[in-house]
This record gives sequence, structure tokens and C-alpha cells, in this order.
Amino acid sequence: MSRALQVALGVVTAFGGFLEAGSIATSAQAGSEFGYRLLWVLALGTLCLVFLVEMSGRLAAVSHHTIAAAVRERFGFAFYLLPLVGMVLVGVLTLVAELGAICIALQFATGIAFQWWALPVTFAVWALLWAGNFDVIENGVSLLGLLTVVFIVAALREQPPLRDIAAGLVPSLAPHDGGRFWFLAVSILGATLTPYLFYFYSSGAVEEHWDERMLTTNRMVASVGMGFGAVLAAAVLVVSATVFGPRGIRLESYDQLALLLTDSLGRWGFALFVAALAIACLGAALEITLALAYMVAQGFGWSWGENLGHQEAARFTATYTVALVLAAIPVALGLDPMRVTNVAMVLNGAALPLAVMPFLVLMNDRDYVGVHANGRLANVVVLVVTVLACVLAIVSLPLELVGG
Amino acid sequence: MAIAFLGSGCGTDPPTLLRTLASWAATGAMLGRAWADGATPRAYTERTLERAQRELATQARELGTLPTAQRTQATPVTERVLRGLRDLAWAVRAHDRAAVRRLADTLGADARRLSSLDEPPS
Repeated sequence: MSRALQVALGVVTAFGGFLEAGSIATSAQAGSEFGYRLLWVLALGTLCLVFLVEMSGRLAAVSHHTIAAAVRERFGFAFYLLPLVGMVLVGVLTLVAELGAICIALQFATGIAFQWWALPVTFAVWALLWAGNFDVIENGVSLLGLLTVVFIVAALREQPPLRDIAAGLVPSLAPHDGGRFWFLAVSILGATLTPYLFYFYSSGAVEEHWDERMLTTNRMVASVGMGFGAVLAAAVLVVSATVFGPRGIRLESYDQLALLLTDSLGRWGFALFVAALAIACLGAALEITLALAYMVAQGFGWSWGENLGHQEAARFTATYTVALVLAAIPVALGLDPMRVTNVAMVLNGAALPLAVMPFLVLMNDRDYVGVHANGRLANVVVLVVTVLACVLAIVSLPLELVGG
Repeated sequence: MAIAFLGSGCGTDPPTLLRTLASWAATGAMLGRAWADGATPRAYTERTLERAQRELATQARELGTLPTAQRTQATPVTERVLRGLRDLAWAVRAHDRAAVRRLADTLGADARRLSSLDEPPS
């Protein structure tokens, strides 16, 4: 494959795979309650994500280590257990949110309650992982995810005031409901910076045998792909601000969110929303499930890889099977997917230091990345946003509980 | 903490309560118009209207926590919204698009009334 095609495919898959339950729900909630005022949080999170994704690809290309394997090697297994446990717990909760959102989309499409879809959807995700290889999982579903471009179309049709959007990109404090404002801010950060994403990315880079020749491609995919991807999340926020905000609708459930595109796209709006939600969350569910298996298998030093045979990587396969079964249970029991999504995203923010701090040490260790060690800007941005997300998560979740 | 949040209802401080009531009323109005325009399927519309009624009924139980002046104004509007949502569900079931449009307009007006109760008097 030519370098240009590689870059294009990488950018397109990063773009198509950007949205998932967390980013759709939190962006829409932020837009409906605070207009464009939380756009700057999305921009800040995306900047940090670009650095983190670029770093994870660079680590893989230069050291041929995944993040998990390198952390384990550098700090020892006992140390790695702490981030592993934290990330697995948050990862499974995030997987519940994604499966729940797929099931909700199917409920909208068929009228059959979402709980009944828990097992068929879980089986379908498992079957795709079982039968597919890494390219199918990463490229196939992400290409389908290009359907999420409907959110940009809808945002353009709504003709939002550009001056207000520009003002929303400037950091500001809460105009009202401070607790809720910061809760949504950290939800957006958690949704943008889900730890599974960069652990998955580094594992994918190793699966695809990246070397230093891939560094430019990696930089392009991280910056352009993730940057354009964030435009999708911003579009969801903008459409929500123009559709729900003026009507005074606070989004508490996906039932309300399903009306997002009916204003701008009419009869097609509902169907396109349902399809975009289902496809985006299917892609995310596949990636999270694989990321969980990667983190566990690499941490324990097992044989791993989506491109290996099932017998060669039996414990890897067993891990993603168990993760899917665990995640299906709350969905089958009828736990509200929107609530699960909110909690999962805030906990993603809280867990961020566990995932990022050891990674940051590695990216400054010349034994691993040689002359490709981090610059000061990358270190500062990632450190500041990680600490900010963690502090906000720890403060805002109790505030949300107490203050409603 | 996560489990506590997942199991809890929304908070009930007066501004949040009024906004939540207004939000579900506005949801009913938007949903009714969307269905009348053929933009949403019937099963989804009926299920969401049921959800709106349930949420509104749950929140309506908290009306007693409002200050007297707000409670006096919010209670009849909330009762009207609850009836409106029920009638809307019937009209959808009966495929009566004209009635759905009329009820949606009334719900929209009541949603604005509930919202205005949260605003400081001018």
C-alpha cells in the first residue's frame, strides 16, 4: 500500500471511528444545557488526544512495544496491576454503555425493548471479533462510521451563529448550575480521552508491524484524523444547542436524543440518527472489547493478537469473551444506557492518570523511544489535561449526586 | 459512588425540578410535532410518550418541595401536561394527526410556562 493511501485510510478510519456513545451523549447534553459554552472543553480534550494517540503510535513504531507491555516491562507486573484493574473496570463500564446504545438504536428501529437486544448484540460483537481480523475490525467498521458525517450536515443546515460558536471555543466558567457544568465538562473530557483508545492504537500499531518509517503517517493520522473526528462531536453539540436548547429540553435519555436530526433532516433524520448511533457504537464496542483483551493479555504476558488463530491466543480470546458477557448483564437487566454512559465517561476522566502517568514516563525514557522522546509541549499538555480531568471527576461526581 | 448514581433519581432542588418538568413537557411537544410530520415511527413515539409520562409523574411528586408561590402555579400546569401527554398518546394511537398537532402546541405552551416559573420576576 502506498504511503499516501496509508495516510488517507488512517485518517478516514480515525475520523469514522471517532464518535461513540460517550461523545454523542455528552456533547448533546452539553449543547442542550449550556449552548456552545462547552466547546472549548472538547477542543482541549482533542488537543490532548492528538498528543496521546501520536505518542502511542510513536512508542509502538520505535520500541515495537505496546503501552501495556512497555509499562509492565519498565515498572514491573505489581505496578502494572493498579492501572490494569482501574482501566479494566472503567473499560467494562464503557463497554456496557456502548452495547446499551446499540441496543437502544435497535429499540428505536424495531420497537422491541432494548433489554431484549442485549444478548443478540453481544453475540454479534463477539462473532465479529471471532471471525474477523484486525483490518476488518479497524477499517471496516470505521469506514461505515463515516455515516456519522450526517451530524455535520445537520449542523450546517441549522445555520448556527458562527460568532457564538467562536465564543464557545474560548474557555469560560459556568453561566449557571456550576456543578452540572463541570460534570458535563469532565464527561466530555472522559469521552474524548478514553484510555482504551490509545492502548488500542498502540496494540494495533504492533499488530500491523509499524516501524520508524510510519512516524509521519502516525503524526498525520493522530492530528488530522482525530482533529476532524472532533468536528463530528462538535457538530453533535452544535445541533443539540440549536434544536434542544431553545425548547428547554434537557437530555436525560436516548429517547429524547433520537429527535436530534428530525428538525434539520426531516423524515430521514430519525433513521439516520439511529443508523449512525448503532454503527458508531458498534465500532467502539469492538475496539473496547479488543482493548480490554490487549491490556490483560499483554499485562500477563500471554500470547495475544486479533490476527492470531484462536488456539494460539486462547487466553486472549477468552478474555474478550468474558468481558463481553460481563458487559451484557447490566444491559439485559435494563440499566439506563444514558446514565451508564454519563458515569462511565466521568470515571474515564478519573482513571486517566492511571493510564497516562506511566505512559508519560515511558515517552521520556530514551531506552524506549531513543531520539523520539517527547518534547516539552506534549508533556505539559498531556499532564495538565490529565490532572484537570481527574480533579474535575473527583469533585464533580459527588456534586452531581448531591446537587442533582 | 457509580452504583449510587445509577440507582438514584435526579435531584429535586426547585430550579432543577421546574426545568425537568418543562423539559419533559417540551419533549412531548417536539415528539408530537415530529410524529405528525411523519418524522418518527409510531412505536418509538408511543414508547417515548410513555417514558415522558412516567418521568413527569415521578417529578410531580416532588412539587411539594417547591416554595408556595411556585408550587401554586406549577401544580395545575403540571397536571395539565400530564393529561396532555396521555391525550397525545391516545391521539397517536388513533392516527389523529390534527389532534396530535393541537395537543403538541398546548404542551409547548405549558413547557414555556413551567420554564418561566424558574426565571426571576422582571
